[in-house]
Amino acid sequence: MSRGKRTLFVTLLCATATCAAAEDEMFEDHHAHEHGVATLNVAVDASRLALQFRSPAMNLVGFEHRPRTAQDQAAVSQALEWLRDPAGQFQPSAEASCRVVKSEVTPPDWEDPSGHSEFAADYEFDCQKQAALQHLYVRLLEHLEAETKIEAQVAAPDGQHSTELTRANTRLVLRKPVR
Amino acid sequence: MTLLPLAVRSLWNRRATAGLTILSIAISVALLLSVRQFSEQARSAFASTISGTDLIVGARSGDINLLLYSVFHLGSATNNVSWPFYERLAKHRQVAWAIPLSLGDSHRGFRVLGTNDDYYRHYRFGDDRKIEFAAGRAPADLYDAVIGAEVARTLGYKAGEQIVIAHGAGSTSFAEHADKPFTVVGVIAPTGTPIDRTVHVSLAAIQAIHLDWQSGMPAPKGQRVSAQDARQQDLTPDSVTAILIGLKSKIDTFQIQRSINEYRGEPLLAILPGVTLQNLWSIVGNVEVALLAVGLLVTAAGLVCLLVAILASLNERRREMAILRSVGARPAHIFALLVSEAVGVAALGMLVGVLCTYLALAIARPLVQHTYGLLLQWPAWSLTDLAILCGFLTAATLAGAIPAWQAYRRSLADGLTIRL
Repeated sequence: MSRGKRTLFVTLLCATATCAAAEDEMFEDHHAHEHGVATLNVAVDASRLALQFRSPAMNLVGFEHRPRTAQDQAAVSQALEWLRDPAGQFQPSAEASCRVVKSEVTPPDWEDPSGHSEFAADYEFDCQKQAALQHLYVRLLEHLEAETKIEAQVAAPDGQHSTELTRANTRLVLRKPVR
Repeated sequence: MTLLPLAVRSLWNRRATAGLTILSIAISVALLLSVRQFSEQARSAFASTISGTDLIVGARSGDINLLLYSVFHLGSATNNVSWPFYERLAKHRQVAWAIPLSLGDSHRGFRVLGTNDDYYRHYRFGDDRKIEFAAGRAPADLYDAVIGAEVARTLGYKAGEQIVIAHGAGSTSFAEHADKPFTVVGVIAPTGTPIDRTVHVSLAAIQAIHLDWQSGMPAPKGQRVSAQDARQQDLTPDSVTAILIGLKSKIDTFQIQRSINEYRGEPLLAILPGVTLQNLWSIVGNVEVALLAVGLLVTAAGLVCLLVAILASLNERRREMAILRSVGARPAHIFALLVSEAVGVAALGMLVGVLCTYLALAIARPLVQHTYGLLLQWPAWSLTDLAILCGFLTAATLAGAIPAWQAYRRSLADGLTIRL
């Protein structure tokens, strides 16, 4: 590519980028929302284990509109009940003797202008035996829609990595980065 | 007389054909092994380029793009991060250190990186290794430069050398910052990472050499700022290309990442280098699979070649078989003779193939190190490689059994009745 062409190309690119940025300003919430995929961010440091779970409501209750029927309402209550039980749904290695020190569950905002709504949950565990903290078993997958994947990212003192969790693979490795 | 010397001598008698067969097997085995070794080595070299950095921050673009230009110095940034944002980040209570990176200039084809002392203090690579100096020290004066091992080796530079930085990242540049030469004050010990191919200066120096530049061109004579006058000016940069962040606690990683990504002041992107490296490899992984498939097919072709060579030789060796039978060899001996010949040729081919793999790596190492600054290790043979070699030998044995079976049957039938 000649210099002139390249400059033009870059200018065009920048123009597109500016447009995208301007558009971003218009929306409150612009992060990816993909049905069938939930995200789990796991951070480990010393005795602490922090989890951030985000999932489109679709994966947990099967709809994203304001609950209309008693059945809808029951599904939402059930989902919130699961999420308010971190020790049952997200189990760190038993030998590490972890206990929940923080649990914040945010129910979906059914009025979200994007038309999508999602569940959010933030947890923190405190573990007595940090060396034994090797895995996290995500039991919640059994309650999610069958094909749901959880895209998990781990940030730990000995490295960062990402893994895809499914019903067939509910164990998240926390220590050695898997390559 | 035992069978083995007989097989060897028979082969020696047909050394031209046998040699070519061995060569074709060697090439196919070497191709398969090299593909595996190269991808393994490249993967570990890439992965050990950065460690201990929790987040990389740059202008909003793609995560892999940001990783490539900030750490590997490949490609270039679409935009910068403002200096006030860097200052806010560096002072943030959850941030332990923040290394500013300013890229865009070069010296004789090597990238010039503007950074600060935190780089020498906090940057980690490989297994938590830090930057060490083979000679000299970190830059102290405005016009001090520190060079990587590969820069020093290629250009023959030592501490004390005067260098001039060129504008832009190309290998040939006509716009040079000739009025503000730098002095090399340190050489970094080899790291096997892109650091080796980098010239490091201070952030203020990057600002100083661009003081009198207007829209990518040097200012006309008369409006220029001399090297000495530049020292008196405010050399705080307006922006940096990227920022490497170390956090006080890994627990905050995702929280900080999110608040940077959702920052309203400017469009920014924060990535987890470890996760992004993995994403990068999952893309490269597909190419790797394709190459491996080609390698396997070529290996299969090598086996067929072996089979063809032995089958083709059978006819001309009827006499040999007949004589063997006449001196008391049983049909089973004939069978064993041909199988051992196939195995022998395959084994020799494999041996030469392994040697070729070393040779290929020996040729590629300096090239890869020069181009990407990555250091490939010598082959680390894994169980998979062993399995490949054993599998190949087994396949060769089976392939050898086909002509052997034919010769066995024929030696029973036409044995000595052959007409000459």
